[in-house]
Amino acid sequence: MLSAIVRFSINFRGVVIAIATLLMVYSVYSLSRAGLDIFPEFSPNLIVVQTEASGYSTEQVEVLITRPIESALSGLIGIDHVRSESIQGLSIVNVYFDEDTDIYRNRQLVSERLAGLTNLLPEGVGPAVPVPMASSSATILTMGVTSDSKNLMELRSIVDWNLVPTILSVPGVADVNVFGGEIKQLQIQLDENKLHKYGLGINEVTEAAKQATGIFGTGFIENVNQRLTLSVTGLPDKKEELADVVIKHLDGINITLGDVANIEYGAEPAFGKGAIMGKEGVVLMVIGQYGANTLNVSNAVEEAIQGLDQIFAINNIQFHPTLFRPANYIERSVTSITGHLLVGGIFVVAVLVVFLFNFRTAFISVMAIPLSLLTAILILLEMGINLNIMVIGGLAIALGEVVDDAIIDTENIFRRLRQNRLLQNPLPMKDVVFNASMEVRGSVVYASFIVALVFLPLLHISGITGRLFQPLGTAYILSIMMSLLVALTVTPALCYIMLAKDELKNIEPPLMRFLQPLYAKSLSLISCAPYLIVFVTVLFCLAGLFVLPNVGGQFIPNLREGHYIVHTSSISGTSLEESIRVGNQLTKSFLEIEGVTSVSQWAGRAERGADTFGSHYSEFEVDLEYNLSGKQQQTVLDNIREILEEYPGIRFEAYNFLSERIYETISGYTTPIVVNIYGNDLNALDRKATEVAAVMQTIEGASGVQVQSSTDTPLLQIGLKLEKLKQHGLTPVEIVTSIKTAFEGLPVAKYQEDNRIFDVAVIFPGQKRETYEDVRQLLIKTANGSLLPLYEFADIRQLSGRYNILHQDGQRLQSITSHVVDRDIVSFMDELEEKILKEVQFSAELYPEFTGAAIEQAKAKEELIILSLLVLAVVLMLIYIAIRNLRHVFLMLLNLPFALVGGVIAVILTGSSLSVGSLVGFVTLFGITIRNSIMLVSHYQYLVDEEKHPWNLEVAIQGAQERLPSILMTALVTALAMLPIAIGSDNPGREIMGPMAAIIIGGLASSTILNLLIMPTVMLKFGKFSQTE
Amino acid sequence: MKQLITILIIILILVAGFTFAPEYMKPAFLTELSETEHDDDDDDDDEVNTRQQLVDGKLQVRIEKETQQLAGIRTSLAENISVRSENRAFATVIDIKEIIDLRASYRNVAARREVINTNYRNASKLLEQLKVLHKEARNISARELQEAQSSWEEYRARMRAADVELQNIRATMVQKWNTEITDMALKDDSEIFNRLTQREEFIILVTLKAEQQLDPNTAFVFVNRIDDRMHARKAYFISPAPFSDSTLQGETYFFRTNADKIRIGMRLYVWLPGTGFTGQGVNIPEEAIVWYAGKPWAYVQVDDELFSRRSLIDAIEVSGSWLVKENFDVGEKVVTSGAQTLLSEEFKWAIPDEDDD
Repeated sequence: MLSAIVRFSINFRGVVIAIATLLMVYSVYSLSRAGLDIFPEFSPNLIVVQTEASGYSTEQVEVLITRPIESALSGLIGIDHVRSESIQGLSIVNVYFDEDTDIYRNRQLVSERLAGLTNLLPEGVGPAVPVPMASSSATILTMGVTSDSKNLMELRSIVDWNLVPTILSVPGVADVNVFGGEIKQLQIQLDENKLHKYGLGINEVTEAAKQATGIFGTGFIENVNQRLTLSVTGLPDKKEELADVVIKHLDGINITLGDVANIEYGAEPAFGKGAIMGKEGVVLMVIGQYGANTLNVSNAVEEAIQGLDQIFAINNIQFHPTLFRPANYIERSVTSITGHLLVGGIFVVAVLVVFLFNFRTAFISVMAIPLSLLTAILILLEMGINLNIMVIGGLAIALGEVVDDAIIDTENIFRRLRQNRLLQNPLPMKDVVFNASMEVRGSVVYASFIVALVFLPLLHISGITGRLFQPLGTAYILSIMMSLLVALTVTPALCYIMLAKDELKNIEPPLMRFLQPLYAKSLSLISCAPYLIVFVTVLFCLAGLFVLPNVGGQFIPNLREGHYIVHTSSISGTSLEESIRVGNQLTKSFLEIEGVTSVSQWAGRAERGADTFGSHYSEFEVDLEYNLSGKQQQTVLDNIREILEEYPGIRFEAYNFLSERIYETISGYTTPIVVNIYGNDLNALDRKATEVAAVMQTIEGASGVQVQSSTDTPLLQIGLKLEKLKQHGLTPVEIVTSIKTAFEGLPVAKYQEDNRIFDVAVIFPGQKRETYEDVRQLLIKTANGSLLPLYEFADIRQLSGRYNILHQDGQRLQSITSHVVDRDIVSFMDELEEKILKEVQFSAELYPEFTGAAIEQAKAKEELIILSLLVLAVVLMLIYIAIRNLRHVFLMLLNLPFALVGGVIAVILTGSSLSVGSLVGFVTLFGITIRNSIMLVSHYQYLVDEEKHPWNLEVAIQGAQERLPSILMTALVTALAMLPIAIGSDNPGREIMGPMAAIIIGGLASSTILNLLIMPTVMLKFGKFSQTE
Repeated sequence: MKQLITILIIILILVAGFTFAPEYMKPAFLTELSETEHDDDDDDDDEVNTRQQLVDGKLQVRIEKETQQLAGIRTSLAENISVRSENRAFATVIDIKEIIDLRASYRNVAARREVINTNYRNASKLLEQLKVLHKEARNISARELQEAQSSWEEYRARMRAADVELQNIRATMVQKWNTEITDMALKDDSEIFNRLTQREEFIILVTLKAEQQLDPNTAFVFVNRIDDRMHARKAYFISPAPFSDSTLQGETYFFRTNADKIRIGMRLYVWLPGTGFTGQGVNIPEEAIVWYAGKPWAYVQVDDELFSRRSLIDAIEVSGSWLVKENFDVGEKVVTSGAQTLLSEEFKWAIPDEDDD
């Protein structure tokens, strides 16, 4: 079949060239319309259901909201597992679906189940809504506003009613999380003194307020001729009008709302606060939709808000449009990486010209690069894979290789054409081109398949690693396959057109003329001591393998985004006020670091955000100067960490944004050993967890044993005295409603201000909602009309409550985690399981589960190993098919550790650490190395088989000399294409690809030395070439 | 076939080698392939180092001077103030029109009685004269004498009736207003009552809570229209009240207070002398208070770098600050900014790790 393709391409060369040209043009067109992103979508198949339950305690949220939601969602097709967290005032249920299910269908199923749930939730709670599906990188832009003349309420109104709708109208924006400012309410702020004076209870005022205003539809009247809509005007919507609404008629006097309350515009009790450069303001986080393109959406948002700067400036509002702009990193990375690819491309051309010493052959080889890469991009785009840094990375590492097939092909055709000219009866050109092309099929086709095959396991890695690196693998494999196609079609066609009729000067390229005698001499020398060479090689490999485990590793390298995210957390129960105060102190210190341009902070959470952070939690956006190098960025990060470590009373994390997103997406405990205890009784769970932790601590190797979810939060418990309530003719709910109204606020109506809708709420003024005494002294009106303080009816005590309650698959859960030091995890787990089951008593309602990252890891690794071994088997078979000699297959495998050692040396020399990207580098390297060996060994076979040479030193040197240009060229081309990326890999855009490139260059260097210098000697000594039948 | 078997054997050896190799002997990056493992270059996920230390058997927090500045920790000197504990109650300004009416009636009856008394005395004299005349000379008829006798008896009866009426009015007054107020009202030259009638002062009905009692030596209490103890005025004890407030249950007492800005029917806040804390104490500002384990606490800077958390035992809240008698000394540096930061530092191990959920 291959010969048919090659023959067709030579015969219909014009058609082939025309198709190739058309494909290139169309690919360029598609590329110009494609968007760019940072990473592929790596978030899991997850639907987050969020329910606001303002005023409810953690336990209430769990029982009244989380449980019904979990029950409603249970049994949905495709659910993998459900995790939930209930905190004060908020329920979050995370529904994880199988990775191969459709996320939109899952969302639809969840929404349908939630629709039927509305009546089951307590009044005033919810509704339970699936939060907008955000893209993996989530944040598109972070911006903020501050002002010296406008207050926080005015700022928030401008943001909520002007800025947010404008941003939300941009396609690709999923949501805008707003932190800080004050949400305006028309508040009926009760004056306890006046209530006391008139003997009025809170409930009476609330009822009157409910009747005071609102927005209603009043219907229409209709007669035989017309329909007339009824519209009532004059409902009080100003504070003065509201103040005149009568509550009660007492002794001939009307008591109005204004008599017992101050009607003021006030702030809703806040979930979060924001600060920019240490000044309180409003921070907005623009969230991208699932699948949306960061760069496109970012630009569209900026276009939409263009011109707002001036309007804000006129109103004396400071607008900070780019507190964080992830697109900056994309732009810098793409500029940087395309620049390097261009330099790499120039290197490739230079190498080809120097080695081939013929512009035509160089041109034919180089043409393989754009053709393969552009066609691969076209297919990727048609497959719906967005262009991102990982895809570009795949193309970048393929850059040096896609040209290899063409080089091997062209070089051979070129050589055979030249040799043909020297013959007395030259063969027809078509036949020479065809035969030369077919001659190297073994190296080209099998090698390409091998190179592509070794990447297959990468496509099957599960979890976030898989989601991140699959596009890279796909892009790489596609490029290699396309280069194979080009080598089989376009290259022979071009060779025939451009070389067949050319006057091929029968001169060796000068570089080859210089190198080949030297090379021959070296080979002769080396072949004198084959055992010594093998011994040295094995020693070298062992040294490398010994060093390998000591090289540090990390999941992904430090990305140099020019931005850092800092999380701080104080003890739970810390107020927003204190979090902002701490934040301001930190901001002041951060701003003193050289290179930091802006710092913004938000504390608590946003109204619709999917996070469950309490008021003790803050996040900072630290933006750096645009052109800081990787090293400078690291210095800034080190300084930030130093300040944070110094600061008392906080725990922190400081990451770059993308790493933070990736780690945030990783679900489950990150510790290797986890014991989950399931049960219904929270206190029993706590007790059992403590027992398990105690046992765990006694096991050898246990380190950092922690009981999770045991954090307390301070609460004021108001225990009603029912006997007292009975005595005064009160119902419990009356008391609860009064407490809620006073301290949480009770929205009683809505009012309209132009096109803005605000709540009308009854509440106590801010200064009466601060202290323990304020709660104790709350006046409650009894049935006989007297007003008595709350402590008459309730025991008020400050206690510690649960900060959160976690569920896994609908069950209450308490987890104990541990790390393992200097011990094998499996034996640790076995001992742990045995000891805990023996020493801790469990009942049917309270049972443990032994799990942890180690278990998950082992499962993932097992899958990967099995797949890798399958691929290895297929690769070995392919090599065998290519060279048809099992002995040679094993001799070639010597290449692998040798290449590995080169890669490890490169890692050590560049001072980087091993990451998943490094693994990709090694995989690529093995593919290329095997290909080069195949090229050499199959040529020896060709010399023995076709040219009937006996297998001896001369033939070994001749074969090696003839393959020297191809091997050297492909190695150099690949290495040089990578070189610009490998240099300064700690800089934007090169962080992931850099280490890969360094490994490939290092490994190529060592494996090329082995291939060129050692392999011929090894083959001569241990190989066995005989003419095949 | 033979060759394929060889390949498979090699594969098996590789599998075995990789699978059974101890975990720690495998390259670090391979073990990180799984999604659950990540570079832990953050803070202190596993080991939490707090600045807590044991000094003289007490747990204290050590914060270096520079860090204090970084964290914005500020202190103020604890001051001495004197107060006495108080209980809060409610009062109603009552209308004394009824007692004024009764007083008027009493006075009318008394005036009438005076007239009757004069007439009675005259009738008495006349009767004595007529009796002499009738006895000695029979100058007047028996009929005339009888007429004088009946007139005298009539006046006597009327006087007795007026006396009964006066007694009844007084009894009515005493019944409702107690002897003290009745006496005050019936006394002609009562300056207090004059001020009451001229609305310079008001009588207020103070109702104690069920468990409260009034100290027998109480001469005055403090009252205010609003819940503001600082600007409360004095109200002076008059007497226990014989009736209760229609809306409140508890012992009732009459007090009188200046009428400024007070109107009849108003409900007032009352501060009564309490049975608890009295005397001098240390003032701890509200912003220094942190609640922990069911109790209020405040941090005190015990030396340049050491902070100690102390409980506010038997503290009472007095308009925006707390007053304590034990555990704190005058002149000590109480942390007024950053108390929650110190609490967080002391209980750093309890700070939730938000990423481990």
